[in-house]
Amino acid sequence: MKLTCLSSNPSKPCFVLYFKGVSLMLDCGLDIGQIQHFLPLTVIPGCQISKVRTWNPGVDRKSKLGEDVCQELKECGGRVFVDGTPQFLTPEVNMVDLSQIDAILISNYSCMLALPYITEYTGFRGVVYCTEPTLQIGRQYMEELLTYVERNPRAHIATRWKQQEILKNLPPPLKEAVKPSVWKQCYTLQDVESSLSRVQIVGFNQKTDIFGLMMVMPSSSGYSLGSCNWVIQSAHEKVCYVSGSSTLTTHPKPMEQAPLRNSDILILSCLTQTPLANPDPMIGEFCVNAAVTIKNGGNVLVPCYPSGVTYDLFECLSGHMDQCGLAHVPLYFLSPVSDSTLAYSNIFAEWLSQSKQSKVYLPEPPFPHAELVSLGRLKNFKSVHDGLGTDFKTPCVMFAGHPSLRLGDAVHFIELWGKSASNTVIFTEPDFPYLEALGPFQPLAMRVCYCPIDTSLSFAQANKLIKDLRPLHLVVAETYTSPPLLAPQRTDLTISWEPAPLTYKRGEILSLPIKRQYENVHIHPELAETLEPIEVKPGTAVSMVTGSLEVRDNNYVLKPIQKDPVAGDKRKLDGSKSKSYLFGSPNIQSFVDDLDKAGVSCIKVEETGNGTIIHLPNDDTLIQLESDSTHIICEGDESIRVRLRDTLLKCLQRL
Amino acid sequence: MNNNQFVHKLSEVFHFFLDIQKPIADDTCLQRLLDILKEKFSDTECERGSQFIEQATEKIDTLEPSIVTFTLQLAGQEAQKEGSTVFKCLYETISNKGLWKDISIGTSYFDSLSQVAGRLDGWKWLMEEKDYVDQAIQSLKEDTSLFLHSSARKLVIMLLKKQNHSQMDTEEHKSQSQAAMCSLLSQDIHRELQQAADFPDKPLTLYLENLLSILISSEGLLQEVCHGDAMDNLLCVSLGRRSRSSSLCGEALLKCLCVCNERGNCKLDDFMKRFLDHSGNGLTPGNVCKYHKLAIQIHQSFPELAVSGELQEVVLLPYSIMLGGSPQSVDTGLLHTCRQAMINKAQCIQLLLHTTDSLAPKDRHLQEMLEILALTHRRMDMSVGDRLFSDIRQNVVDNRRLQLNLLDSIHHSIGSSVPIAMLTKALDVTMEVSSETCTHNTLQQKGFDCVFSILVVLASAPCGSEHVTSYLPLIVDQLDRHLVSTQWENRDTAVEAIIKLTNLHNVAVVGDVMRSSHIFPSAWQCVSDSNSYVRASAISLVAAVAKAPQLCDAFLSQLKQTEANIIQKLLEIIKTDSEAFPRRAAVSSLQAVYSDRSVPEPVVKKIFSAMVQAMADFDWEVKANTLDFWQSVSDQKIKCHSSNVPDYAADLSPSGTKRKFDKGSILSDDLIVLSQTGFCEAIISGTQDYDNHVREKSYRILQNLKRKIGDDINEKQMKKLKVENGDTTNGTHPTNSESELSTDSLTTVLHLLRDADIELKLSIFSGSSDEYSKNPLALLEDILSEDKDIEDDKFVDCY
Repeated sequence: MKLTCLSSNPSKPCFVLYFKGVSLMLDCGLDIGQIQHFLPLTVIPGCQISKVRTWNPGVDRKSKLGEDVCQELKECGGRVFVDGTPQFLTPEVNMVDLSQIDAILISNYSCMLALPYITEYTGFRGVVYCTEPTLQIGRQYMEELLTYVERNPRAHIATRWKQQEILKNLPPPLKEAVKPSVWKQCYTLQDVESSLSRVQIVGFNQKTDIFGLMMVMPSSSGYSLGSCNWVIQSAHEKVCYVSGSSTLTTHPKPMEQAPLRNSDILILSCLTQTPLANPDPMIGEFCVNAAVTIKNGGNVLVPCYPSGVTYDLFECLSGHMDQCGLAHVPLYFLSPVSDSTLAYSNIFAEWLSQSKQSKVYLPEPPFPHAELVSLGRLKNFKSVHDGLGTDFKTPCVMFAGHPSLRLGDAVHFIELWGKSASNTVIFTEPDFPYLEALGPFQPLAMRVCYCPIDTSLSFAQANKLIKDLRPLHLVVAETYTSPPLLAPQRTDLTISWEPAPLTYKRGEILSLPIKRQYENVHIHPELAETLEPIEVKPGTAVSMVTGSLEVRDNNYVLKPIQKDPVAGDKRKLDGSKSKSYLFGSPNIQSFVDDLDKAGVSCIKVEETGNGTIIHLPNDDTLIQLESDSTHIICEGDESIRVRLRDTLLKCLQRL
Repeated sequence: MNNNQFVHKLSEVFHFFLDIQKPIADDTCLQRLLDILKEKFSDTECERGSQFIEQATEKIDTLEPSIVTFTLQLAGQEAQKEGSTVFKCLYETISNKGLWKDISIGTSYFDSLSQVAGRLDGWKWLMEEKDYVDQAIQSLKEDTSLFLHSSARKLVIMLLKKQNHSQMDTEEHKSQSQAAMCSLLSQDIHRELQQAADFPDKPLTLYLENLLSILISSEGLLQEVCHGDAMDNLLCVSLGRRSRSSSLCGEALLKCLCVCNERGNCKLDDFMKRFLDHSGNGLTPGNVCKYHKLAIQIHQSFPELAVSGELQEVVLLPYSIMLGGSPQSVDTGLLHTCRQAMINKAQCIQLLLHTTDSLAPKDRHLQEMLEILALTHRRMDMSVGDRLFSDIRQNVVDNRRLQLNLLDSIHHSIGSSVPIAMLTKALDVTMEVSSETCTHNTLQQKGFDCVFSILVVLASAPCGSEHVTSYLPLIVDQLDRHLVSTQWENRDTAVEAIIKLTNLHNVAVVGDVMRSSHIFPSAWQCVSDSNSYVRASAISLVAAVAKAPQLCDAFLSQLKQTEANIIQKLLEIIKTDSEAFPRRAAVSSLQAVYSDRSVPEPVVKKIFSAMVQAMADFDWEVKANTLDFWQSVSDQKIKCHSSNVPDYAADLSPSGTKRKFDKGSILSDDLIVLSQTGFCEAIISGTQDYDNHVREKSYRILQNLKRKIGDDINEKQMKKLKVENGDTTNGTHPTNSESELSTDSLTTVLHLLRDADIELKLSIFSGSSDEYSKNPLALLEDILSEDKDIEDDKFVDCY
């Protein structure tokens, strides 16, 4: 069994598991973090971002790097950004033959954004398995991303700066960009449609057979709508893949732990990206910061994704504003998929927590944002050009994409409100370092709050989970075994497990310590009828079985041997008898007595930890008897050997 | 009440008691009867009681057990009164027949004997009769009932106390029995203690616990017991036993040490050497908490000890460990044991709490307390090498109990003698602890209390105002955030903190910062909060501002509102708020505005009108607060006209100009003005209210009014008032219907003032609500009625 890691970000994982001849891809996350190196895509032409100057590295360096390279780079706030169409770091697909992937198991919508890069133009022929909410919300995420990229396109693609010799001469952090040479442009809507058409929808705890070799089963992971962990099980081996999971009480169906217990291998990914911040106090901080700003007459910008924690933010913030007497303040939600994401969230009742499910039977919408929309407190638009201007009031709270601040309407609002200290931008998504996100907008007067809300498992929760699940072997990201860079002494923020877990990182192939020892074989009823079991000890019966083994679709069936008249006659003519079988372990004392009777003299018996050694010095022989083996080392003549054989056979049981 | 009637009924009741065969259903009535007989009645009842006791003694075998206990309690009570031992026969009978072994009878028996021992003659008799003492000691040895033990202990303690008393008074009173009793108990204590020390795993015997309780209360016994071995054993037992036994032994040990100290011999110093010799006294991480507590108690009780320096270091040891110090005179064994103990979170917190509690403000350990408080807030990154130290420090992180305890101590330690650097450090740490948005509100509250007390001290210190100026904006920012906290308790605490800050308006710097900040609008927005407590606090801010004239203008200008608008808002709240707390606060705030601010006449009218309506509120406290308002209106409008005003004063008008005093005329004018405010309607409504408290308050206002206008309200005056009022209404004052209403109300009020027996009404309201206290005869009748009514199946158990 082997595991290949294709992703550099454990929170956007992508693995290939080779097991019993099947190649399974586990998730295909897209690391969007690298778009921080690009200049933001402006919503309205002529804004300040579009006026930033070309990077001037000095005459010497300029001549060394070349004019065309410098034209691709812009300088802003003391940092250099790439001026071109945004590109994304895809998984390390060169390591594997994607046409040989049999199936892709998707855990949640945030771990599937690279799917078109895997399935399209690569010869992929397999099936993609995921739950329905994952498919629908994943589609919305992809559509939002490509809409942002296509809506305000850049004129050109910057590629020259990626050359290795140029890259090393660029200033940090651009020179530290991860593998820019393999970055790819965003896929198209057609690619998305084609890719998602390969998806086969599964429900929680639904077992799906993969070529008769194994069953795969998703079980709820409590992280987001329809998110799951995967149990991959053959007759004698069990592998559990724990991706984005949460034990907190939020809107999704709670995590199920029982199916993950007692596995041979537990692959763990997607732990919290903000181990120093707990989500609960962060939601409180978020609400307080928003309310303080609003109370003092400012506006609040929340760069966010179109789904997930955003729903909880609507709920918590609106409730908090009601409490503080700010119920009149409007909430705006801007996303190309805002309509569908708000609508879909309220029809996935079966994938929600019990409290939200029970609302459906009242009947009420499970999420309060439905009511907020109907009351006009939450107003959603596809973009700033979609009628927002006619219905825009301040102070307000604006939820807008994209959290990277490189794409989407958030770029516009950060430019619009950035000059006033009474406004606040609150970062809640943990995927992007907020200071880097703000890089191109410096200097910025507006207040900046960082309240990362990552509901994924914390290290303490993960350690407890592992303790409960008791896997035989644990596989975790290499980064999970050492404390975070910001808190090097916090050894509690690591995965601690005895024996030491196996670790993965991008581009590594792990040999997992599982050896196939057994396989299930079915006995054909006809053959089973002929068996005559003999009880050898209470509860245990044995029987001789003779049959032919047939293998079809990786299923083994033992069938009666087809009568071969020629061979049968031949055997009959030979007059051969049926063979007898020996079993059991010899009793040492009776064996020694029998040896004595057989005329063997000077018998020395020595007990060892594993069994017994009988030494016959006169015959230059050593007999080593262990629980499951007997060795006779005999240098003497043939007669001794025969005597020993006969004596030993007498001590064994016969069938 | 007719006393003869009562005596007659009492005799009947006593007869009834002698004949009943089963317990009285309401067992509280016997105790009530005892209380009544104890407090209210004279010799005749006593005589009846004595007769009953004698009759009961004769029929003791056939008496119902509850009646036996009643008889014993009555006998004890009577013996205290009579000062005689006329009921010896009763005690002897019970003693001879062994009835005292019954738990309830025994408890009453020893209680009764304790009361007998309260008088000298009774005590002498008991000391001569050895049986009673033996019975008490025997009861203490047996594992029976805690109540019986308590009574028996009480008797023994009474007898021992008298022994001491007799020694001081006259030598002749000293009897051999006393000495024997003391010696016997002392021997028992020594023996039991030795056994307890020899077998540390066994729990203390009940007998030893009883003996220790007696020892703690008896000076004489302490003198007898106080020897080296006993004290060592007490120390050993107190360290090795569960909490109650441990504290009992500790207390006994401290008493013994006091005796040693008084004797002035070197036993105390010897013991302290042994106490500080940790290798000898079996100290383990499990009992180090008890040892530390004992060290604190000894240190506090005997500050002048030779080893007090060493003891002080032991007391401060948990602080030293937490702060990474190593006290010089504390031996390494104790240090190691204490560190081991502090790995356990509960013990660590316990030790630190004990240490903090033991520090008196004068001891100046503010620095250490601040450092430990800072440790509770930050998650410290420890060096990898010192895992033990790191583990101990992790125990205190976010421990609210310790934080509250430290904040309390810091609050009390802040004084003018604390240096400015220390005050600013205290501000930093306390602000940090109370700054988080999700801080528990009690912690936040204590934190702000502490911050404000530091600010006051800092402001009065030389050069301190600069620091106050630099810190106040940070505090205001913090409060601004807390005003929108997710927890309503925190929002409420923040508003209350702003009120406290407003109350510091006399501190010049505070006033300046409040004027320049925008905290008032943020706090005032809380009147729209979803929580009624927060709304109420925000409304109370108006009252606080009204009392701070320097801040009023800033408040209004920051809110961009006029005073009339604010009052209008308060009136709306009184009318519309669904919760009582904001309405109560609004009424109180209006009162403050009315009293402390000069409000324009039309606005005042609105207030009066709202306050009349407030008397119809559903909540009695709103009405009570409203009556406070009307009391202040009455005080303002009606000047004192009573006869105790001297003539020379009465001749002077308030402005100082000379004016002819015409009592009747001024009274009339004032009353008319008062009636036009709506006062009369409000008071009438109050006197007719369904709530006693409101009615009482209304009558009290009337009583005050009556005192002011004197007792000479007659028909003639009332008519005059009526006419005058009518005349006035023809002039400047309102519509006819209104004036008619106020005239009618005034007449009603005057009638009330003249006719109603206000004093009687008030005595009814303030009197006891217990019917039996008012009418003891009813109790006797109820007891007797049981004889007729009792049928088991008719009872309903109300418990």
